[in-house]
Amino acid sequence: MKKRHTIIATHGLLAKGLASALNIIVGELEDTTVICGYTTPEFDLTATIDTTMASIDASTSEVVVFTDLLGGSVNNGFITALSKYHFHLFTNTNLAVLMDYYITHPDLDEFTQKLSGDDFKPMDCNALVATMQNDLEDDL
Amino acid sequence: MIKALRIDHRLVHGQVAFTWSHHLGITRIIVIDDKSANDDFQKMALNMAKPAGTKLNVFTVDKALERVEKIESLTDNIFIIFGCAHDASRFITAHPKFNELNVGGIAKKEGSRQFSEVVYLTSEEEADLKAVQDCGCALFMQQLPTSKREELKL
Repeated sequence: MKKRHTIIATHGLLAKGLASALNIIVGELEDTTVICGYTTPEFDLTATIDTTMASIDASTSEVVVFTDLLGGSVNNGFITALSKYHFHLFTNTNLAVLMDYYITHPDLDEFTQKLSGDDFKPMDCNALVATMQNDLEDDL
Repeated sequence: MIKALRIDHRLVHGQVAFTWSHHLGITRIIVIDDKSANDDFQKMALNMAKPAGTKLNVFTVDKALERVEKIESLTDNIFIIFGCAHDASRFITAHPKFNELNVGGIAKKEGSRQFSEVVYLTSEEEADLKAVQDCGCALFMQQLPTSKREELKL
């Protein structure tokens, strides 16, 4: 199996923040590039993508990219790059998605299916508390 | 079977619920913590924090000791989490059959001494853990499966 190189790319420092949270919960992130977009006026997304892709050996590594927002410029840039490079692109990324990815090292087709489930969606905890019966089992 | 024991003042949280549980193939988490076991809201909050498909129990030390044989006979892969050194010590010294205890996180308090980035012990907690050690259970500190494992030297 090919090894994986992961890119987390977002507007602002979110990517760095996600990596920081992952370092605490999951541990060191192997083969990961973090791209914090548009934090300086000089930021050039296309050039950044080109440099990053050039630094990865695509013959030995499968490339997986996580961006922050469908329709946002970071994701738009990576969509354009799909015509030039071979990689798998996920967007609307959140911490739960990345944790699952780093912990379980999933097959990407299975991962895609899992993403449509309830585990990764924002949730109203007040509603959950209100409806949750206190049904914690005391039995073994 | 009981796969691991850990003290963690944050109880069931990301490192425990996701990273360790996946690493150890855990199917049941048992929190042994008098404070949580006597607090229904806290129990519900813990229930919300458990990973999907995993069972959770929250027991007082006494209840856990009453049921320890049943716990040991379960086919589940069990992760035992103590909320504090005192409850861990009461459980392990009353049932001294464990080889090791991961001291995962104990909060900084007035007068506590630092043992790692996340482990701070008062003299009472040191005495509690000394008692654990004296019944043949080794103490170590390891935050995550991939992070460094260190012996806890009292």
